[in-house]
Amino acid sequence: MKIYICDDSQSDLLRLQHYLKKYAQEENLEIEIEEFLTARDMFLAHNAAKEKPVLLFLDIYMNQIDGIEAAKKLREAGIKTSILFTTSSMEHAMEAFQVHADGYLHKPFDYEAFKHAMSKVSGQLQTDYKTIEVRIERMSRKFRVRDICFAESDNHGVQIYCMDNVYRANITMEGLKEQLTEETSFVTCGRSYIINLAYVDSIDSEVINMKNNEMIPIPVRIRKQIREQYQQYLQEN
Amino acid sequence: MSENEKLEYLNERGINTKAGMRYADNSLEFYEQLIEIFLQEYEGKRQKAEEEYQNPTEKYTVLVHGLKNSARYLGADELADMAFAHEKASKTGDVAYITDNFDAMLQMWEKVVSVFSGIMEA
Repeated sequence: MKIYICDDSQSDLLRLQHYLKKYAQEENLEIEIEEFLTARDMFLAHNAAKEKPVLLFLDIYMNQIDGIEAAKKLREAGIKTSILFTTSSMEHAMEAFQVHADGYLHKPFDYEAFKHAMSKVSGQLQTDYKTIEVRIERMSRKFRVRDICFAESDNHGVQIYCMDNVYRANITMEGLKEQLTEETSFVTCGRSYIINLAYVDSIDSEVINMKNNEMIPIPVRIRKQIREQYQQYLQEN
Repeated sequence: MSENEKLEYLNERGINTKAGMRYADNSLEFYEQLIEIFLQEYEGKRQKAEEEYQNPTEKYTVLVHGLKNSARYLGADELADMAFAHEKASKTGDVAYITDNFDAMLQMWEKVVSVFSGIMEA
């Protein structure tokens, strides 16, 4: 995922970049950072970008176009990207609120304060961009969690089904479950399957029909439970 | 100089390394990278400040605001406090305060640059 940082201070750019990289490593997020010294440069890059940023860090005190003005322009253009303001003055707090900013980082801030601010936006980032790392044919490979349809145990490994391909990973089913333990869209179906409910097309009396046209048998004893989990998922999403 | 010697050197010369290291994620290597930027920017920013201070506008406010931030992040608290006073004076149009206290801020800035250079050259 792409993250923009706009700040006219080189050292603040470097600090945010450092914090972001550390945070991404801790949270298993794949990020790509772009830095800008002026809001104008940021607008130009945003307009030209195929992949738009999911989060913007905007300094408030900048020459020419300040952070609040930049945020207003973005909102007027219908851009709803999450914004975190960085500033050493709280006098713009009300204006930041009016442009629906997701938070305010008060300079000087340390890594703990940064993490706290990130927690306000990270729920969505976690859902969209969290990755797991598994070994496939002796190579380490990262999968975006949301790209996994389901996983099936296979001897001493696991078959990971995505919409475009199937990968045999050198990991046990238990090991994979552990990595997906915080993912609310994943449920266990018997001993052999972990299913991403986001990829369920429908549930028949005995099988789950997945969007990649695979069918997963549901053990009799958990049929009711699987239906309930799916219903709850649909309600919450 | 070892890591401890560098920090000791800065502490003895009035730098709040506890704060500086905290904002540098407790990494001396990263702290030194940030100091390096501060030193590289010094000449250009000082020149701009000298051009602007007698007729301070928004440009001067932004400049001393930036100086306040970078000094605070590095633990140069005295310089940060002085820059903050200039920022407030610039916002309220208190030109007399700025002209009366500009040299003092400049001297402190030079002192901080000299102290930081001491560990970078070691």
